[in-house]
Amino acid sequence: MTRPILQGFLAAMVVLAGCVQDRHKEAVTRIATPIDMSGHWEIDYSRSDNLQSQLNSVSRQVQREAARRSRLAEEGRGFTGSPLPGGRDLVTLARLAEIITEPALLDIMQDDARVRVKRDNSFALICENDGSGLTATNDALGVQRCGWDGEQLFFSLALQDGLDITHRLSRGGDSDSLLLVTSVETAAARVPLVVSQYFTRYDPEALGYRCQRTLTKGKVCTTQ
Amino acid sequence: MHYSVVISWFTTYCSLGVLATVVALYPQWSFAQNDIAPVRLVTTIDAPRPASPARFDVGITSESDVGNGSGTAIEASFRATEAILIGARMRREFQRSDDWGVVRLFPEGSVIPQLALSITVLASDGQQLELRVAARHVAGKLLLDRRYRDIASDEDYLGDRGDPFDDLYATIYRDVVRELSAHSPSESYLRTVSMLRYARGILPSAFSGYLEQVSGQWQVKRVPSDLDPMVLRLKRLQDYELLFVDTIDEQLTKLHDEVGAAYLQWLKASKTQLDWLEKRRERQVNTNEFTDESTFTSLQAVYAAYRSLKIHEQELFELVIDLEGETRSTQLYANERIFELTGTVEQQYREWRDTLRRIDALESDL
Repeated sequence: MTRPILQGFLAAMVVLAGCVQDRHKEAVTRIATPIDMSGHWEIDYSRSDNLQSQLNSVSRQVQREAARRSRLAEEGRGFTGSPLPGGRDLVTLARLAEIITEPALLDIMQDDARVRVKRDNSFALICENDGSGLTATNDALGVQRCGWDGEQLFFSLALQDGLDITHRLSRGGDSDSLLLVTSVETAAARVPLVVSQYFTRYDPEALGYRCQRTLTKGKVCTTQ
Repeated sequence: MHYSVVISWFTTYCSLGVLATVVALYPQWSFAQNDIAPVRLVTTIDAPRPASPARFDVGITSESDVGNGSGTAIEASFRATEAILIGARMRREFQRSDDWGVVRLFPEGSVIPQLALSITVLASDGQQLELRVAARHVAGKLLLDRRYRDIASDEDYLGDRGDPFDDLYATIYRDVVRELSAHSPSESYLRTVSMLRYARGILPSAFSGYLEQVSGQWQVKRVPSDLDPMVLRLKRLQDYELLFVDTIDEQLTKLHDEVGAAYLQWLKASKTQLDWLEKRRERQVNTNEFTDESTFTSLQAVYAAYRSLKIHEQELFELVIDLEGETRSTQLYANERIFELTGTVEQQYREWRDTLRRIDALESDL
């Protein structure tokens, strides 16, 4: 093996070695059976998770794990697992989740090739997928994967600095509601904060005005 | 049937990383791909513009070879539209002076203009624009085949300065004029070659004897009479073909009016996010060293940057899709009939050229 080839091989091995620990794995376990979610949806706060209670729930989970580890240590038995998040890590997680789950209106357009979930005050979640597998879209700031997992439409965003966001959309028990489950995870917290939000159908025409966001004028609302 | 698919994007990323590392250690691999046209880095230009040697008609074609990062049909449509906008921008550079004949955007290469400019967009992200440009006159001489790269500065996006890559188009224009002045036959000779090549394309049996190819260059052997009925018919067909090109041109002008502002906003937003990303990398950000507040601030900034880029991108992509839907049909009045063409511009152009051949065949039978 000549010297440059050896250098190339070693460099490749170094990069591979760093990749053995995958940051994120996602399993799709069901056959894609897309369902119609199109229409206008508004959040139903009465049925949706309260962020504070979700944060409390994660805190209790962390405390229980801390207690378990402490018991194991007292008994002289070791344990495996990553360090537990501190209280401030969880607060950071909750503050991010608050921003990410802020949209209260969804406008879903759907055809055989594409689903577009427009969200007020945020970017749209767009998935071009024929139902045959996952679609990954890469750009400089992150990677989005999307697809149908059974009747659930999911989007997974892996952004810079270890910020991972997953959205799962499914129809609620009754046909007129939609469930959006958002999971937010950071490299520091290592525990996902999961927020469930229910949406119900609404008629935008009945509002008496229509709003449109444009690049040049921002959000413009006109009466009908 | 149940199945289980486990996808690990990180592994994919890392495999690409390995490949990139190996390629970086063997630069000759990339040279083998890139040595066709050396890159010319563009700098600011203040010198006066050179004059064209003759009033040639110019035909510009443009296409995109920018990698489709998202792999989506929306991005593919956007890149195709971007190539048209860049072709239209190049045309405006030629139209700034009165030294030229008619400067048109053609859906595909054509022998009607005396000078053909072919543009391939290699990279475009707001930070930089890289084009491969080939210029050839209708007799076959390759005047220029280069890659041009322009890096935009923050100042290029300030105020109402228009296109941040003005210098790139000005540099291409100068190079084309210089090569054309050094290597071009007379305007009348090229117009004759153009007419005979067009005639040969429509009626090869009747016009193949007027031209010959020597070392890849077309040379005129003899010239038909201007009063030859076949020549008169072919000139009319050529006018019909240009009628189509000009009709499409109106649609492209509309496209520019509709998308131009949003495209500029996207370029700006994309550059801002990429600059921000580079600055972060330069600072070698280590998340472990953050204070609690700066961790939140940092992650919030990551999400805000992604959100901002996506909002601009999606607005532009939607505009492109809407316009694409509108420009799928063209009506033309020619030969005392109305023709309706459908499909992409390229499909319509091919369909129209076939129609012209049929018109010619019908008329020649009369």
